Amino acid sequence: MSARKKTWVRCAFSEMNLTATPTPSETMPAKRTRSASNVSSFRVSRSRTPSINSMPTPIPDAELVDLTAMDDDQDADITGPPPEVKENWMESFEPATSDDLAVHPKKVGELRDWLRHCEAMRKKFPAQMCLLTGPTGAGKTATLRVLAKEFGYQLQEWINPVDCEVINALGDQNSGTSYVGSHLEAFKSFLLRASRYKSLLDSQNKRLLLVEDFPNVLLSDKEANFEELLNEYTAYGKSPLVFIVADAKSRGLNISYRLFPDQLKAKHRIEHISFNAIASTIMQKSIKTFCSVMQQPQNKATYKVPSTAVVDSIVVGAQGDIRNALINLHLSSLKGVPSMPTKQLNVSVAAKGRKKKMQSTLKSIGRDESITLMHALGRVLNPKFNEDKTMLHSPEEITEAFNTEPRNFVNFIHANYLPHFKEIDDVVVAINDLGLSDCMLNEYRDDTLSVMGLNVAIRGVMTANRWPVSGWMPVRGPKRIDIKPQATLAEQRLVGVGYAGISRTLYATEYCSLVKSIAGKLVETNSSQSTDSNQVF
Amino acid sequence: MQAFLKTGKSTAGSGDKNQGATTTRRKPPAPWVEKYRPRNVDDVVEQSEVVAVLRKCVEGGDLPNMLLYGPPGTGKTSTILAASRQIFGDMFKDRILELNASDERGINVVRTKIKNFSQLSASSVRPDGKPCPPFKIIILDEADSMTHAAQSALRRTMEKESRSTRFCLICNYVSRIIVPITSRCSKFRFKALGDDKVIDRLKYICAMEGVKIEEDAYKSIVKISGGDLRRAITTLQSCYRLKGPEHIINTADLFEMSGVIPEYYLEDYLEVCRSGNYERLEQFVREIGFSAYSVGQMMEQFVEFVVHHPGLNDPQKAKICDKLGECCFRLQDGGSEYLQIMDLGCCIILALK
Amino acid sequence: MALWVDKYRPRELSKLDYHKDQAENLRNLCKQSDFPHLMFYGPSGAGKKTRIMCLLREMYGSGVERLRSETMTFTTPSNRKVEVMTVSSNYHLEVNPSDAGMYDRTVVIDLIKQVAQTHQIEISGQREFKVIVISEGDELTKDAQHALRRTMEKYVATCRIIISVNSTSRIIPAIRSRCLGIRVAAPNETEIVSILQNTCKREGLALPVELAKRVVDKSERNLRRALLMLEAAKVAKAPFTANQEIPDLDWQVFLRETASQIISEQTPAKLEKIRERLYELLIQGVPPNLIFRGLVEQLVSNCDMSIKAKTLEFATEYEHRMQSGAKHIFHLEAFVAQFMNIYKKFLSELVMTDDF
Repeated sequence: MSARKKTWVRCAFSEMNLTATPTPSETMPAKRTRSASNVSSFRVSRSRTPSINSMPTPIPDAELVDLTAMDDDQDADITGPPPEVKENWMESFEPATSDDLAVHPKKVGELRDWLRHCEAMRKKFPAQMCLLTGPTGAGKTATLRVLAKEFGYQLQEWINPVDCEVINALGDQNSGTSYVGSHLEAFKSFLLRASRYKSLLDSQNKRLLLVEDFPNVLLSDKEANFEELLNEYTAYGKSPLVFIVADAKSRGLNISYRLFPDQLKAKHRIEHISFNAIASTIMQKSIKTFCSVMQQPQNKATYKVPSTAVVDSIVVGAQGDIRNALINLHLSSLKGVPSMPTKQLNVSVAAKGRKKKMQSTLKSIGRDESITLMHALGRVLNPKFNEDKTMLHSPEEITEAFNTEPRNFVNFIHANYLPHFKEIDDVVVAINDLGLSDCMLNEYRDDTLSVMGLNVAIRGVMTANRWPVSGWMPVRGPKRIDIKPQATLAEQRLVGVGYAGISRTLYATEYCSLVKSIAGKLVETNSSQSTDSNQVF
Repeated sequence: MQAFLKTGKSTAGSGDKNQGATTTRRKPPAPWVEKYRPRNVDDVVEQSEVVAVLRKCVEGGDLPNMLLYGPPGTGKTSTILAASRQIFGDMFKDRILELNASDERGINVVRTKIKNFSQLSASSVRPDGKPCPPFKIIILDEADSMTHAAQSALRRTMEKESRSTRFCLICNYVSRIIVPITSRCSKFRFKALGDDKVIDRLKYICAMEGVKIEEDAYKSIVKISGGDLRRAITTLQSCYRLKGPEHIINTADLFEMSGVIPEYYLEDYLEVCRSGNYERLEQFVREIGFSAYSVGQMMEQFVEFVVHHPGLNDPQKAKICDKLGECCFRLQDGGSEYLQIMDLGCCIILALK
Repeated sequence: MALWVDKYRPRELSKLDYHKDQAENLRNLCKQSDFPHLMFYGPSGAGKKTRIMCLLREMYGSGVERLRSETMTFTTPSNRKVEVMTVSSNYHLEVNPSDAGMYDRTVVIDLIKQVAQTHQIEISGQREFKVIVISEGDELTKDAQHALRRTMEKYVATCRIIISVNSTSRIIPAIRSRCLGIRVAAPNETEIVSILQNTCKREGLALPVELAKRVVDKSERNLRRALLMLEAAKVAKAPFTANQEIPDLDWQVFLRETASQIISEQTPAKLEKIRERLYELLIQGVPPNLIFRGLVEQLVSNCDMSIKAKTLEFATEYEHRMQSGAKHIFHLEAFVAQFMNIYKKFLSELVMTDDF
């Protein structure tokens, strides 16, 4: 850190030197200007008010912004308004070759192998399919693009047509009543046509289809449609097809789990490559590369490199999501943005040289520090207390993390809390609270009660457990009660036409077992009678 | 005007509507509640103050906005219908709009139907030339079940159309009517009917319909109905229907009919609890279940029984009634009958120890 | 091939075996041209359905017995399709709205409207109304009951309602006052025994008196259950012997075992196993309030008066809470845990008092 502190200029056109508290030793002939960032727009308007000819008024401290400048800060000489950012930031940092990729080389290798396999199979089985999964920002699409270029494929992507109507022309219907076709049909025709027919504008000869955006119909309805689609594709398709799916936190939304069950993958030989989150070492390396890109002359005007502390906190806060890291980096390196506030984590990481370095993460900008269900369950079922008997993890935080699916979380607690309790009177308190929370969650007239209900459940279970049983226990999902079908056809016939008039509960409690035994015996006697009659003949 | 034909109070089909039937079909008999409704204000049983005021109004040909309230079956609807009949005579059907709880009375209906009706003008001359009061009457029966929003929407209409329309609200509990409306109406309180008046009326009906009945059965009817004349007449009619015209109705029949639990059950219950024996209690409760008596009904009667019982002292009564309240509440919400009455029994056992 | 319950069900009012004066009353009711709405109430297996069918036959003749079952679909205001099975004849329609769950209101209203809006053309000699029989009326939601009351009044000319309920406590007073109540009490033991013996005579079997008495005890004065048990016993072993085994309802056996397990051990681990058993019962379709009742009956026999009172108190509290909650297992489990707790304390106190 240099000792110089740059003072922040209020107005772009102001000729004055603002010399408030610790001033830089030299006055700067030219003023540094703001870059085009929205954060400082407020200040721009305020600063235009003082007239140019007035005496330099001392700026109150609050308006000075300290920039923890870098060692190699040479931006003092730039004049004029900032150059506009002309192209998309992300594109200028896109990986061009596979060496640029921040993904582990082994994963890249797997994908490369699959592409080689596609090449080999092009004549006989051109329609190969592959599924890439992984957390968001792990580099799946980037890897695919790079490798497609390497192998000479033209990448063709499907995007859900949400802002235009998929119109199937029905001949000459131009009177305004066009027939809006189904997205599913459009998707099907995309798969079949895009793979077989090339465009005149294609630069390459070979095509690779990419589906990242799934039509909603496939996700919500039965998956039988999807199987049919894949069957058709293996029969008629002519290019390899890649599906990219980002993992979701909740299993219900997990597309890869629902659309691609194991048997489907085996049947169509779909290759499944699952990407991991980007390791922090690789990410550090990439960020350093970005920083060096930013140092290049054409970018220097707009960007400055943030301090190492900020860079480290960006890496920690991103949690393996390189896209997120890149965005945060962009924001932190824009000129005109005050240094990003960082928050210290309570975790210390042994850095190189055995020095314990306190890790800090970006406050309020980092990725959603959302805990997974398992994590949260662990906190609830094994409550930890500080020395002063307060709780280590606050129930309110856990409630906030799950307030969109309170019922699901409470069900999970219920399914798993018993093994962690030692005494039955603690259990009584806990299940009492769970019962109360159930009543609250069931109250449809007031939405805020559901949050309260979740809080009651979490807090109740956490505080009731005076002597938690520690140890790893497998987490079970909540049990679903599917009421089984009650009567076979034979039994129904036995009960006769009145069967329809008997409700489920009545049948279960009064009829079921007795009718079963009666019907069972009758079937036996009937079959034995028929064998007897056969013997007679 | 179709609303007037829907009385909505009969237990039996009124069958007043013809559905294109052949002329040979008899009209089924109207329920006695309708048949013996008073036709003019003087016929109304009891309610002398109200009747006096209304008579004056009828003579003067003007009515204020009215709010009639009181326990059910005391003659509120009958009174206002009788008064309107007297005022309007033949034009009765054109000048009256009646909406009761079985009609839609949400805020939409208030805004459309009631408003439209009240905006119709009423002439002061009858078709045959005689003078007639120049207003219409809207009768809102069972008004305490109207939502507050609908009631609020009503009050503006009441003010605006007060020249040509009078409102008459009928309810059981004044507290359920919002204050702006009660302030716009003059309130008339209907008392519960005295036993002798009820008996007189019943005797009259029996004479007209040729019902054979024992003398002390009248008292039982009164007890069952609890001051509600409608309920008394309906009980009488149902009993008559079930037993046939030849049978002499007696107390046992009436109790059977109305689902009232005989007194000895309650005494037995208390006795069993006093003995402190759980098995006996269980047995007794099973018996009640088998006899199909309603536990809710039993609890209602039990309250009266306990409060007036000489054999219990006050702290015991207090404890028992406290528990009774809880059990009734839970039963209302759908709780299991067996559990509630067993719980009550146990509490009584402990209280009487 | 039909169950004995249906084969030997009386079809006419004159053939009813018990509550004969009530049958007389019902006949009087039919004689008149007017007819109110009816509500038959009584415990399960007492004969409400039988009496309703006899009454209908008295009113409409034997055409009522030609039944067909069909599935009717209704659309709720939220555009959801609800399917309900109905049993009907030319003169009446029987429906059980409890299977429609939350949407029974739509079912009730639309059904009545459908039936009521078709008038009879050929009226001579017949009644001008149809009858709708609603079974298990106490499962109706309050919403549906209010809607029923309005619809009952509106269409009173063309259709009459007969509701069959287990208890009138769950019916709102508005409907209770509009219907004539017919109380069908459970038959007493001698009556059941005589019915059983008649049935066996018609089937050509000899029924020992002790077996009959045992069946009656087990069936808890529920005639339907008694007949089913007898038939199952015959199917297991015929001809009858006096101390033959009578088949039990399996869920009751299961519940008894569950209760004895609760008594045996009171730890969280045991509670988990109990929870599995409760799930099993719920999956079979046994309603939670029956589970509560069964558990209470069994558990209470093992402790003394103060514990009994406490157990009942907790049972009513949790059962009431269950009414406003959605997951029944939570409340069942809470009750079991609470009982385990009190019972454990009770046992330890016993041990302590033994020491002194």
